[in-house]
Amino acid sequence: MPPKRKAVDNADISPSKRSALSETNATGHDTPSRRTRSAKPAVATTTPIATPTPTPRVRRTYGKKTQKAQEALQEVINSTPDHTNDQSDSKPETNPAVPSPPKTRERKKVAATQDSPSKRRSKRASAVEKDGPKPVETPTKVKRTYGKKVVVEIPPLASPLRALSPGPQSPSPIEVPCDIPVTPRKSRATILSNKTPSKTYGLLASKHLPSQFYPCLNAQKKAILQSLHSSSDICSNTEGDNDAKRLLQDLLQGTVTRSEGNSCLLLGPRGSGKSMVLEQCLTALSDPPIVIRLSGWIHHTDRLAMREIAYQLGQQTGKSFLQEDEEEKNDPFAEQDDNPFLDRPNPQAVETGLALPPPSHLPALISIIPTLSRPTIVVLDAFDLFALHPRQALLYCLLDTVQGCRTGMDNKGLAVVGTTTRIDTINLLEKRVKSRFSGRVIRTSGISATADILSLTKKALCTPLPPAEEYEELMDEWNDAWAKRISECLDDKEVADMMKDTIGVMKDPKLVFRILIYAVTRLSPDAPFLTRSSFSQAIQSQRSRPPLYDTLDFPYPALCLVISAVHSITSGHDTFTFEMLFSTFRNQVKASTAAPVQINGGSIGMVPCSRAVLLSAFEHLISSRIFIASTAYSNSIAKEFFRYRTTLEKDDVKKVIEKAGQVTLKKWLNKAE
Amino acid sequence: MEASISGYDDFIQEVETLVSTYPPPFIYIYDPTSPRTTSGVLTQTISGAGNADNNSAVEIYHVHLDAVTCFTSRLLFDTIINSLRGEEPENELPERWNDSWDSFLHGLRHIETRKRQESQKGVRFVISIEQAQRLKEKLPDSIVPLSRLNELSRIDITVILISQTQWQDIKPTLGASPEPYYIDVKPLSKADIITTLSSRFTSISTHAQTSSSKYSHCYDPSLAQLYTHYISMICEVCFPFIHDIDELAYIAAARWPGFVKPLISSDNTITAPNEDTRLRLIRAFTPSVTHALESLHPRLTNAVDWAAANEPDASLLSHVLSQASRLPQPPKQQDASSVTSLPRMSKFILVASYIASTNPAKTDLRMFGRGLDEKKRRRRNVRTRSKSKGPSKIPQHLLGPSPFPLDRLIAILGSLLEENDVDSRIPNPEYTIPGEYTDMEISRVGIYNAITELVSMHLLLRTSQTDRIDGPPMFKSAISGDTVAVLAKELDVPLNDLLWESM
Repeated sequence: MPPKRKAVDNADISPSKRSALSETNATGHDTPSRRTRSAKPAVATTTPIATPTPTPRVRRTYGKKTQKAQEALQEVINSTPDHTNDQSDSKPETNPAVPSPPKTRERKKVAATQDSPSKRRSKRASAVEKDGPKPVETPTKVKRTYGKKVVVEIPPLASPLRALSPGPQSPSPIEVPCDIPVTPRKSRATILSNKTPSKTYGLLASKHLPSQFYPCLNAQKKAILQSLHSSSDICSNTEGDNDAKRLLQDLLQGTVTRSEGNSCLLLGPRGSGKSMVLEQCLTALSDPPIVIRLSGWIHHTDRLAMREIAYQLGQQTGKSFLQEDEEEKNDPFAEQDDNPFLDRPNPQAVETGLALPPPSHLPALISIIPTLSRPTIVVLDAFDLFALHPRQALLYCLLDTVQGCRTGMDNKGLAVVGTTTRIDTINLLEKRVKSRFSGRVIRTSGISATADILSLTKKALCTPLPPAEEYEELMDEWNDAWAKRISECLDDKEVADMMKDTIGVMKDPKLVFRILIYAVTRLSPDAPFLTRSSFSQAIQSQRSRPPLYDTLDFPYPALCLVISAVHSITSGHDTFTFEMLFSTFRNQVKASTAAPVQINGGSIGMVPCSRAVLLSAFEHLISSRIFIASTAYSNSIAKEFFRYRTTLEKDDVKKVIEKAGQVTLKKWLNKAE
Repeated sequence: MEASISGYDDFIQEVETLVSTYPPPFIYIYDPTSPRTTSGVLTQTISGAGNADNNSAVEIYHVHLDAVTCFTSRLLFDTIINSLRGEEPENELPERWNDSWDSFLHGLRHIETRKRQESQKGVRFVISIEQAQRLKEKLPDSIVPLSRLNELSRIDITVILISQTQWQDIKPTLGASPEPYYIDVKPLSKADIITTLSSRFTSISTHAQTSSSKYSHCYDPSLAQLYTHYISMICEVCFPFIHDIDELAYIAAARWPGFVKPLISSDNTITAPNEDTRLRLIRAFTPSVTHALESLHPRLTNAVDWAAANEPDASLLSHVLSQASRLPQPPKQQDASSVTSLPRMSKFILVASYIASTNPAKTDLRMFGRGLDEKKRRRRNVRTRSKSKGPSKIPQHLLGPSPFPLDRLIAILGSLLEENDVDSRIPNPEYTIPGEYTDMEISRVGIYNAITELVSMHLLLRTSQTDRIDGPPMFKSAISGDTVAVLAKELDVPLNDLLWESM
């Protein structure tokens, strides 16, 4: 047995050779550790591939830990090479693992050029299936029948070359034996030497995740999704936001504590954190004010908005009054008796929420807001849409009331906060409204620098696992592995470029989050870590949407119709009826079957298709808006004679046809010149 | 429905992960091929995700609705609210929750609070809407609030739209809606469809054994193997034409009873065929599948009727090999069946109306005029296509019928009658001048009566207002070219010679 066999050599030799080799190894090194690990002697001795050169040693080094794990989990978990490296370094056979830098480079090159490890692996795996004899096992070990070693690649993080290496996948594979019930074709069993210097940890970088890490992966996915979901937590640290937050905070504080009347506009592009800033300020207020939330998206008219104000006032004041009522018996509403909406909170009315004032009283409602017992904050989402209401009556009422608020008198404060993305919102206001508006515009800038987004991405992805019992022992290891793989992936130049492109297109953290969500939900034991390709897929799906022709999978009749439509356009008719398409198709079929040429007993002409089938394909195209009606629907026109136009350009059709790959259709399309 | 559909694994995994953890507030699922299948899978997945994890922190309540049925906002609100609310007694209703978006949101919040109190857990609502492209037509105002439902209601709610069209087709203007989280469904491959359909046999079989259907004996468990081959055959023939799994299943269900009929012995038991018989069966039945496709896919008939109409001979199998015999070819469908029973004069009117609708008015003299140089006049123009003169003209029969005044119809009708009907009349010596009899015929009130009747039958369309008194009433032909051809043949009218442009 060549004692200095290197990892890469091992990886390169054919399965049969390796199995022979490993058999000699297995017999040659019957170390004590194997006996201690009597749990699976069968695997060690009977799966010949499973034990190349350094197996016994690595095993031995795991002995103690394994036993601990056995006690704890009743399961042999031994994929943790981290604490064993010092020992393995001292052994002569594993010492190829401490290479001189040029050697490392060489090996990495080899690893990089063999860029399709999966191919090799699958081949090898099939070899395993073929020649791997079924181990004789006790029934209790059934699950481990296929317990093989899983390849764990350990990237040499300490090496300076690491930073230059192009991809995250380059490290040479290192195997750690661990017993997992993986499917046989995924598993493989070679043990290569451990080449990382002693201070690095073992990293999980396998194609397939060892099963004991499944909970970790799931928990990690969940943690990341959670942090992406509550996005306000992770992107609340930018400076611009802090400015905006301070300004708004001061303003609201003034309203709440000093009963000021305030109005301001939160202006910023989408996803720049307007609502987030607002929410944070609202929750930070010392004593909770009445918050009335209106949205221009649903309150299309002032009347709807007023009704909603009345409702929310009733809900919020009603409750608080009720509490006061219970606390102290004396009547705090005496001064509000003239207020028709807030008469003594009739518990039933409040509960049922039916205490809405009649419509005629609604405008008067706003003017009594300052007389309530608590300060009020009115939040107008999509402020610009309120400005489009006729006469801007609601805005006028609100802002007029705000202006009328005098501190020092016994009224309470009122603040009107509008949020909008539209820059010219103030210009939309009528003069009388504008003059009552304070003119304060607080801008949220969102995230401007690319580095910010990248760090945000990293922060979101590196959300630490919440502690849980089921994977407590593995947590440290997992966290390390995860963090390393993430930083590798994000440091990858292509990934960074892709993210930069994304941010260049749209500076919206939500877009980045969607991309991350897409990538993270697709993590599975087969592909447990984020890679370059998963990023590019996610960007393809969420940012640059796949073009229409790419998503289409037409059956033959629909393809024929689409081609006919192209012919109709090239002959100068942009709109067409079904009859036109059908006659084009019929003529083409006639022409193509006219020549009695047969190849292999089959006609080379086009397949005929009945009118009814084509018509239903036509309807399918209409319902998926490939064909769009160009005239208004009318009862007096039969459906065959409705005029349509197509949304597919000729080039798109060409691509669709190419994907379908039918020669006759291609020829037919090419005739349309 | 059926347990699983292969080919949807990725989709299921993604949806399950999202729904059971932290779903994005707004998801858009785009499936151009088979949105119904997708929404079925989605419903199953979400309910599975809700049930799977009993000790999870959130309780998932799912509503699935179809935008076709929710064509007003009240229906939309009511459908969502009612199915979320479950069986809460009606009198608890504090207000009408279907009035406006405001009251709808109040309702949502109310239900959420109640559910949370009941279950002592977090509550997550998932609302999925299929055929979402209909929202754009019927409820264009609802798309923005739906896409922002999470922020408007400030509860844990996710809206999923499933559509055949892309988001950009129904996206509101001015960026009013936030961008959704996109999920694209890949179309099913042929192999997936075959696997799925074949795997359904067991459930169909067990279901059929318990039911008393006429065809229940056809699904004997021993035929499972044969069914797999049968499904492959069906997909072989039909998959190029249909990619929708439900349609394929429909065709398969219609053909199966006939397919196994030769195997049924006299005492109504079925034995699984051997290899040879199977090949013969498949060879014999392949042509009829095409016919099934042509009549079932456009729903010209339904599966039960079709199966009954196309039942094969029980002895079919015996002579399959000897002579390359096929199933009896089904009779050609004739869509003219409704008009062949009309009175003779009405048929003439219909033919005349078709001619009037397709020929340009200025050609009438040429086509119908009788003069000395008949041959010269009758000459039909040969369409010369001059490349320089812009787009070629499209024949009128492809563009649809054009309207014509009543006078023209009557005139053409007179010409038709004079040419083709005179010989069949009872000789009447009163009329001496040639054409006088026909003139008499076409001025009868019965003609007008027949025209009104045809209008009421929608074989003719009246395009002018009924209360207009100036000008002649205008009509349009409403029958297809095929129907007219049938009629003309019956009346022995040389239709092709009378049409300006050949069909």
